[in-house]
Amino acid sequence: MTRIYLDHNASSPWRPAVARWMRSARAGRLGNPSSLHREGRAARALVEAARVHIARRLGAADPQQVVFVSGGTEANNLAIHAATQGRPGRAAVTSIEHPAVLRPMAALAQRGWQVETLPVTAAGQVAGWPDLGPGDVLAVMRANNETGTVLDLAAARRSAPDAWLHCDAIQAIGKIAVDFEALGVDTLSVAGHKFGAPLGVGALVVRDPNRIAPLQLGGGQERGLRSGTQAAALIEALRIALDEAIGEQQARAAHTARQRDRLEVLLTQGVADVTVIGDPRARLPNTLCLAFGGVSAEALVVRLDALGVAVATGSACSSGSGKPSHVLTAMGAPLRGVLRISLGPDHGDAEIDTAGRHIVSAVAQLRRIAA
Amino acid sequence: MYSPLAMDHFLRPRHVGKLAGPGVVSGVATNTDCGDTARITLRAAGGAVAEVAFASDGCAGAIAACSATAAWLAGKPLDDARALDVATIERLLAPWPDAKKGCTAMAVAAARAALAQT
Ligand SMILES: Cc1ncc(COP(=O)(O)O)c(C=O)c1O
Repeated sequence: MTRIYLDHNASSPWRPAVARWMRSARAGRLGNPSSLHREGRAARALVEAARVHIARRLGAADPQQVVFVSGGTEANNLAIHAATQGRPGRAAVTSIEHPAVLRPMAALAQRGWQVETLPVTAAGQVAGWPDLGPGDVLAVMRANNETGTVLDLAAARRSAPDAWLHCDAIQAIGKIAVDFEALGVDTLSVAGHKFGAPLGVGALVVRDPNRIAPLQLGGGQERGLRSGTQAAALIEALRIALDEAIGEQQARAAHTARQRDRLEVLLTQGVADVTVIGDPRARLPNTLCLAFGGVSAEALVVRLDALGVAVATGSACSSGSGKPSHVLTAMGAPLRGVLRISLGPDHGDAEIDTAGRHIVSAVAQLRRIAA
Repeated sequence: MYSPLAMDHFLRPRHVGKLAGPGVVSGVATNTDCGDTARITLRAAGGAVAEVAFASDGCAGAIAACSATAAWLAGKPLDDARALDVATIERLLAPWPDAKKGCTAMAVAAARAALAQT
């Protein structure tokens, strides 16, 4: 059965150029980037070239601002650790951040930090900005993984010109423009597997690398900011995927938004009692979050999987836990029957129409069982 | 995560619907963890479960558990039916995920509530 994969916000398959690289003889022969021999030097050259490329693509002025890490969770943890070393202080975080931001913040609160959770509107926008000063920390994601709502980083920065502003941009890369300098943030998280690099690699962009303290101690790689042998092959794969994702972003976004809107029309017209969740004026082009009244999202996902369509319930992280999504709760959105559909960069009309038909029929079937 | 038989019950549920008319009894139950609900209606005749039907707005586990419960009940002498317990349904659908124990509990509670009126 041909599969229709509509869960790119959870993880996006390797891009063909990434797959070619990962399977190449060169990728398999790389040495340790800290070694002095030719194999080691080749790996180091690759890592440093990737750093230059990635810095440029992300709008960072200096390649040394890019620290390679294992993924999104590590990037967020490192950023929050860096921003909050030592002294207790004040922090604020949006209520719709990923657990990889919320949990480190909760841990800070236990260590004496005063941490405020910022409420959001029904669209998922921050309802009001706190009063923060120098040394305070503000964490605002670029775009939400469950609803696709794109947050107003400019407003965040205006509200707290002197605070340390951390931006989890993990869902934004390749979908909307992400420019470190333009955003004016202090740290920015990137996870490769959300835009077609393999799992296991990511980056943290840091405004002032001298101000950051490592979480992980060891051999002193990444100028001491992140010890552990650099995953040279994965870092090169990150470069390839990021190059493509950002290079094609504008052209792809228009196509993706068209296909997302096509699916949204199919579903809102084909099904009764359906609510679109998110900010219609500021939404990732690939994300469609819908609440279907009277059905269980888990049942819908399992049925669609059997029909060859891969989608997600509210949050991949909380699915199966049975707990309602903290994002939907914060927005006051429906909590039951919420499906997150997230498109990749190149779906054709036929694929979207087939997915739409399957979703309409699965909802109808479940409603018949519930009647 | 679900066994092939549990998936089959979910994808092709048996005894879907709502019985009505004289002699029909109904039991409902809610899974308080998630808000899913189940309803089992049945009609007893000649000392046995003559007809049974279920409805559920729950997850795949809830639907599979209700379907398996209804199928198990169908045709059973009432005395045997009243011996229904969660372990019976979980054995039928084994291996049953721990995270879905609320579903079997809900299906069995709805069935028991109906049987209590026979
Ligand atoms: C917004 C956001 N932040 C953080 C993460 C965590 O990233 P990872 O799973 O790569 O550690 C994810 C993905 O799950 C995400 O969507």
